[in-house]
Amino acid sequence: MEDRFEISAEALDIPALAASLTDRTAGAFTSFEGWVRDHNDGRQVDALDYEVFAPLALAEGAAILEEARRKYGINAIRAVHRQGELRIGDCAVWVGVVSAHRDEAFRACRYVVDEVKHRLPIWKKEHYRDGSAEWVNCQHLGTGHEDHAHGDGHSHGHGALHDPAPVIAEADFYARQIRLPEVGIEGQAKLKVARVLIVGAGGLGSPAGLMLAAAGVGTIGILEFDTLEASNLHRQVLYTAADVGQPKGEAAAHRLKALNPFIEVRVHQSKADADTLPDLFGQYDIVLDCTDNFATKYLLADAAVLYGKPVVQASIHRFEGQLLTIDPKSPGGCLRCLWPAPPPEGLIGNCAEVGVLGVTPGLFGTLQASEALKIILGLPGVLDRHLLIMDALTLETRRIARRKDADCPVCGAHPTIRELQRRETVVYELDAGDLTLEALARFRLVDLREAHELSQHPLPQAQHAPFSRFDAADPGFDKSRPVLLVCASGGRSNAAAQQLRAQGWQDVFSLVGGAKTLGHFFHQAAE
Amino acid sequence: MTLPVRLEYFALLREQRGLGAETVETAAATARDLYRELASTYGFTLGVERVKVAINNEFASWDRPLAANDTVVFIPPVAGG
Repeated sequence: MEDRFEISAEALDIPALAASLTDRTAGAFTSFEGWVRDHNDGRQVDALDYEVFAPLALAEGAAILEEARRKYGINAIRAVHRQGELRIGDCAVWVGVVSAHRDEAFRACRYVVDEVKHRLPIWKKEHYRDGSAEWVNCQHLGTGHEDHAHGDGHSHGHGALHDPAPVIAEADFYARQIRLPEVGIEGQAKLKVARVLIVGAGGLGSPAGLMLAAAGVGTIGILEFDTLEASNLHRQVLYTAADVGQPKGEAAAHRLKALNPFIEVRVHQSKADADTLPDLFGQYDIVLDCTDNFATKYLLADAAVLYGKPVVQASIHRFEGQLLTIDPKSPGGCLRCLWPAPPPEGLIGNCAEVGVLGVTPGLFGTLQASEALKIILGLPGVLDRHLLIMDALTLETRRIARRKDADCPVCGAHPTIRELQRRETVVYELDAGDLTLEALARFRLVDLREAHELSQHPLPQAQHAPFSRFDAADPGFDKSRPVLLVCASGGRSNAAAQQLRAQGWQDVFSLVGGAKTLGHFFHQAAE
Repeated sequence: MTLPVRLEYFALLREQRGLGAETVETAAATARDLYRELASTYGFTLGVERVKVAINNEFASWDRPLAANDTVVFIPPVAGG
């Protein structure tokens, strides 16, 4: 039997709905009816109006039924939501489930009711006995169902807040932006069903996440595997000092859910790579590249073209930033149309090396959110045919027109990049998780960080050879022992290891994740 | 013959040049010739192939001939966040 989700302008014929689910292979049938009651929040209610943005409500409703079927393996589901004017006692929403056993029927029914109330672009207007009327939300805070897991991520569900929670009307939350003719109820509905993935919850991802959550983007994904460090706080405004040492993804999701309980936030605690991105690009409509390294930026830019989804990229250098939106359908082209390949690691410098004032990623992360909102709402001015560059000191901005390059290796006429690229397969990277104290003792440890970085995670056992003066032809250490290169995050050590191997060195390795991942060894050793 | 052109430098190039914008008189025929001249004068570490040039708010070919009063902007890629 086919699952069906409908919007009805007529009173529901409940016996007919139930009869339509008759199934001789099922041992359980359960249904839920949501009724219009005569009071809400201490006020006497006479009638209700449901305003539904039908095209999106139908698509989202069908998606919810599909999720319930996948999660609970039931036989069939039907759900109907009313629109228009309803009187006291009318049935506003009906959900029916048939399945082999009662448990999955109850759970699937509960899931569908909760998700429908949360996710559908439906607004409720209450008419009160005193003659007044108000748009109100379709749910109260502080309720939730037992299982919030979605896909491969961890979701912070509706129950993340503890009672007593204030009752906030969803329509009040967005009232000021719904008032814009360019947004309206229809635009708010588009935001509610939109899914945006933020790759990197750092200096750019923080303001982007806050702005998108506040605007009501219904599903926000956060791809982040790092833990919070004190040196992140001056620019990563999603977090508080109490979050230091915590996984950033979870803390970010908690903050965004606290800001806007009407949205869903999914955490993907993994790296952005050729293994994870294909599936993630399938789960979201728009991707914000809030990362801080060329390897991932090029990977995301390629994924935009290969998987046909817009990617909004921002990058910061000291007081300057660059912004561009890669829309695979646009004649504006992609990142490789401008710079066909990333520069060698270490040539340009990252935030850890050159420093950054928090407001610069703050500005650009906010602009990334603005681009995503413009795409979702269909507003003009998306930066798909320009590169924006801005200097936060002079406040001079330039919008530079760009065009697809016919010779582009990924989006040109004869592409040579047809799948996401994997990192070089020669093993020259080591992970602290694979090391033992004994194995570590075999290595000559070389610390490539600059002098001012050393106090962050001191490695007194290491020989200091700052990357700014690194020369592979004369590195200042020899091959008499295997060498393990360490920097702050693994980028510079990777570059140096490649350069040394290019010089013929065999036993030279780069530590993935940098100095901080070695901390527990020396703690252990000291005991 | 020389032409007056306005130059703007971004990111690493701004640091290596030591300023963000200037107007120069140049005898260079193309953006490429001009960049090479500047690179050897100021010790730019990025070669032409790593940098994009925009002329009058439009990305341009390095071979485009320069015209009087062009605004020429040199933009390297950046990756911070």
